[in-house]
Amino acid sequence: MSNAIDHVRVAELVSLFKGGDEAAFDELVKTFQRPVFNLAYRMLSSYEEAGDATQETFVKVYRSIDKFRGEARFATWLYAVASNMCRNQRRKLVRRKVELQVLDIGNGEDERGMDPVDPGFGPRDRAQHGDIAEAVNKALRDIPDDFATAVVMKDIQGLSYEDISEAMACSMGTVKSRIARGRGMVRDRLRGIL
Amino acid sequence: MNNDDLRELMSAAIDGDLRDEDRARLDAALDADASLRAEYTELQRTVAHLQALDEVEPPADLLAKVRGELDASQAGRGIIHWFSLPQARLVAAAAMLLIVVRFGFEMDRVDPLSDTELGSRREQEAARPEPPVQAEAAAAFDSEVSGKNEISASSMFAADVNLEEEGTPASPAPAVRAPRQKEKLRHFDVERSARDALVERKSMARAGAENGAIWQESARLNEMDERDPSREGERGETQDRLAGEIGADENAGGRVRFGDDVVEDFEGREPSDSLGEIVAAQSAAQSAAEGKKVKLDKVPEPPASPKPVASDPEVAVRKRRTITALRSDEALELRKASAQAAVSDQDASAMPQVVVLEVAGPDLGAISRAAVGFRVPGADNSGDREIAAGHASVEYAVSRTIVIGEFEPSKLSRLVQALAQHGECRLSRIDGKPVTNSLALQRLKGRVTVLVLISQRQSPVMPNP
Repeated sequence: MSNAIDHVRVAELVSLFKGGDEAAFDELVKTFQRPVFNLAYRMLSSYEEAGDATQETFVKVYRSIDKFRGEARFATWLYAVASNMCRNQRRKLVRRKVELQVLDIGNGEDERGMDPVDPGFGPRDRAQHGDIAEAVNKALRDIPDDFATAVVMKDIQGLSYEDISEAMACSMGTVKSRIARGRGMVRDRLRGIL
Repeated sequence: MNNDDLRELMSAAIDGDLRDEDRARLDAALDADASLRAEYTELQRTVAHLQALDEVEPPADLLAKVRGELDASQAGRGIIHWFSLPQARLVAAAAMLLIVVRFGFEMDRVDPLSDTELGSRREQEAARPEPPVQAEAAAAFDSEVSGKNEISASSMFAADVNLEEEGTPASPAPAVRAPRQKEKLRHFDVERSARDALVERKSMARAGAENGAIWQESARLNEMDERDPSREGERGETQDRLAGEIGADENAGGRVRFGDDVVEDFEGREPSDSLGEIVAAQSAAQSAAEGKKVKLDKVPEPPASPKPVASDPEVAVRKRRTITALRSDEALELRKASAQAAVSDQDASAMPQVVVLEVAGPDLGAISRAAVGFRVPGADNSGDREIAAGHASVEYAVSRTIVIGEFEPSKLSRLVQALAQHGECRLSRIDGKPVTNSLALQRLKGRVTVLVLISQRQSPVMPNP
């Protein structure tokens, strides 16, 4: 995915945008909206939530472009911003889910909880995929943030270990470990259908 | 080598990122353990599934939304930035100074009418015939206001009064100042009591806002609320408007007074008609509060804002204008209506809350049967609807609503579970308000009326690339 991006052109656009060229920012959005949105979609499993997270990511990039010093690639920095945004969003969704479950236990009506009402994974989202894709999405949503981020960046975004290491601000060894463990967690959740 | 190490090797092998010696260690382990080989195969399939996920098309209006949010926040930032400028602070300080000076000027301004002129005006006023309906009320009001003025003058400006009594000059012209000061205080006090009455009336009107004709009163009074008459610089104009807007009512139940004069030059408003409207409105409100059906078309419309016309140059000369308090009988009626409205509101809160569940799945019939299975015996099913394509979102070809009926909130989760067997189910609305927080469920009390909105999904939501 990231291979299709012309990083030289991106560097040029970033430079123009830093100089006040608003059109350059628009072009950056157009260039990266697809990978950023897909990263968000796989981490959040919700089209609407992913749209919001992508929007907020670009707004944040716009406001803090001065903090980007060009030591890493812009794409890496952008993914870091996006993944942080998604992790925050995931925590909010988890809190909401916990509230629903607590509420259901309080009702004493059903031991299985209120999963079906989970607002993070609505009918609109599941409609796109078959059962396996749906299960993969759910598995990614259910595993811890760091592992989900690493797996999504590696297996879905196609980023290199090095890029992931920069985006997640951790060592390459940690990245490899997170990817391995994350894949294992997804596999555990797919066992019945693999 | 423990299992974690082996899993990392397996993962790296899938990525083709394994050194030769690690590859050899992994192969040896896989040869020795069949369960490990099975695990490796599963891991390869998992990664294949992850990599096979389709890309999703982002929303077409994403850039526009980003731009919209940036524009909105920049507008806000612009204002904040402006206020942070030193020039802006100077302007703000100057504005404050102007307000303070204007307030002081208003308080100390000498009435252009001399004492003699005031006396003469009072005589003219006394000689002017008042409408017979109001004469008695006016006399009572005057005596009430006079009493208030004396209290106000002695309590609020006690220092000045004491100084004058002791003969100590409080100003270069104490002999002139004392009556003018009293006149000024009288105006001030009457304005204040009038505003208090308005506030009281507004709160009463709000309490009965959902009851027939009082709604109209409330709307008009809320409108007045937005024009804060306490702003000194706008007081005269605002009170003109207030007097104009409630002119008919005040003419009926009380009166509108401009300074010391009863103002009778509102255009086309006969006091008796206004009184009739008020009585009709109160009667309608009373009926509504008692649960009777009120024909809203019979409820009189609020009067079009009549503007005071200066038929006499003296009217224009008078800068101070005050609005009298509501007559006590009118206030009493409104209080009664408000109290009954409150009781009626309590009854309304006992009504079942309407809960909307949304379900989407491929089998419309199965979902419908599951929903109908929960239908309360004898529930009115006339609300069931079949909705053609195009409802709400384009991805749904057919939609259907099914009224389940009224039951205890605790049954809700069982219904949700049953529906979720056939598709995605979510709690959508409670009493017409979107549910954004599960805590909303905790607020469900008494019984709920449940409506299920079913959507059959027939095509992918988002186009594949």
